[in-house]
Amino acid sequence: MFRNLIKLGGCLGLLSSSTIMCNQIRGKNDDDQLPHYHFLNDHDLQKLQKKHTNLSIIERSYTEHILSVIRDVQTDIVDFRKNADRLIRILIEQAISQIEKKKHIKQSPLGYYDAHELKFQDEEICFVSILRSGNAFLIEALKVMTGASIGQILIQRNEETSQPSYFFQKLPQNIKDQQVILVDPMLATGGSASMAINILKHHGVKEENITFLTLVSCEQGLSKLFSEYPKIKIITAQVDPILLKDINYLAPGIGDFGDRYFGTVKRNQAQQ
Amino acid sequence: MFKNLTKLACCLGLVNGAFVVCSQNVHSQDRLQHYNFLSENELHNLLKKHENLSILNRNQTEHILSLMREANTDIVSFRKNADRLIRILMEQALAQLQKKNSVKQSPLGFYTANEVKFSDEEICIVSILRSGNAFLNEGLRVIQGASIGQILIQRNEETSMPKYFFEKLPENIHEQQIILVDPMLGTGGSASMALKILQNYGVKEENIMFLTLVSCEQGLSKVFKEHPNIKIITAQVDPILIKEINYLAPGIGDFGDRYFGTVKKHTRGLQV
Repeated sequence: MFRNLIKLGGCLGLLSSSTIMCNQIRGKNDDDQLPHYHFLNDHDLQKLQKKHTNLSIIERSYTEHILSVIRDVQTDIVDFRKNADRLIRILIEQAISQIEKKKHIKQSPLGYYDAHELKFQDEEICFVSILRSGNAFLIEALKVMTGASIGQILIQRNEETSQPSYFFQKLPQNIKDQQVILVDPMLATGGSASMAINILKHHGVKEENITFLTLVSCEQGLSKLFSEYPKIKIITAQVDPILLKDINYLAPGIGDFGDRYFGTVKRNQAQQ
Repeated sequence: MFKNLTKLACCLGLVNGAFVVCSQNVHSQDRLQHYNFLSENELHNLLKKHENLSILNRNQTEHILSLMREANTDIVSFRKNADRLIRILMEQALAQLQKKNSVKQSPLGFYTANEVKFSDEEICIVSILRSGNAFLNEGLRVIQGASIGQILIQRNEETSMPKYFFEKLPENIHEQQIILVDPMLGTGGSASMALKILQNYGVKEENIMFLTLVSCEQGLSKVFKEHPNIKIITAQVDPILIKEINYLAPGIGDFGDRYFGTVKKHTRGLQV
């Protein structure tokens, strides 16, 4: 509004210094009013990993570029999906690399060698996705492990209270015998993830058999999960510095991952 | 039990005709029904009755559906074939979208170009969770920029009545071309409920295309009666809807369970 008044004043020639002020206003970025968030430095990250031994953070060189594109508010939906899928694939490969392997001897065309292969078959691995956003992981997951089972738990976060609300679940009957990879793109307060792991435990899944994958997380969520379930493993692509208190969103974060991936962004939020 | 008794008798040589009876018992699978598909004539009548109905060419779908229907098909094979069929359905849906003319230039000269009138973002794939999500994999490969809406409707297994749980749809859905997806069309209850939800959001019937792999006359008639202006594209129309359990016969079984690998052990061999 101030800007418009100045423009009006400038046009009417009412203010002598209007030219200078107009330039200042034009050159002034609206972004200067938004805060600039800095990521955690290597020292902080090291401390975090020492504190939680079951936490893995993917190496920055893999994820920097991709996360930069995903975070950008101007990235269109096709690029968002492509980059999200790349990052998801990296996370899934990391998760599978941490699954137990067994050794036996195999034959190459020239001689024998020690083969180290996954101890479990495709069917013994179950991806459990926390609907709705977690479903974004399933597309890449099925490309990597074509025979894996898929479980689904629908938990929605009440936007006012930030409390998770349980709606529905469909899990394989023999899930207690399976290696479970639980997926959800964002880990903020840890409320939804905690509820989901609780449900898995009710079905007989052991904590040691659960790996939780998330793109962006924060200290608060990680601490909550590890204090309630110390034996699960968590793999994250990056840990954001801040959890905004009133709305419980990560900052700088990605925004609402589900809305951006599935294209259900509300217009009035599109500029934030 | 009868088979075992006969085997026992056979071993003890007590029954003269034991040998003959044993041979007969091998074909005990004859106790299950053999369902014949609809004839060309019946299909023709169906197409005449519902002008907005399209059934895919039998040549394209026979092989794939044969593999999918088989109870012994493993999960990897099931998914591969389901994806192939879903891709064929999606291409057919796109083929029926409105196109506009323009003149374009090839390396050698001009030609009349006919392209889909809508950009990617103006198309919304709405999936009826949980099974409908199987379509999203191929759907996003064909239309990379499409929005995705989701409606969770579960069918109560005793009453066969659909129950609504949850929905997330784009805000501007009333302006979009909708492709509603659900693998099976039995009674038509879930589809009908989803269509009502879309209408509540202001979507016009003419802008809705419903894709389904296997359907039956009863479901088609119900949906067309309540929403005469939508289009339906199906891969095959099964002859029978079994009354007590409202499953299609020969059908595919529970598509969601088979695609996501949550088949309950005791129903695995059930020929439904």
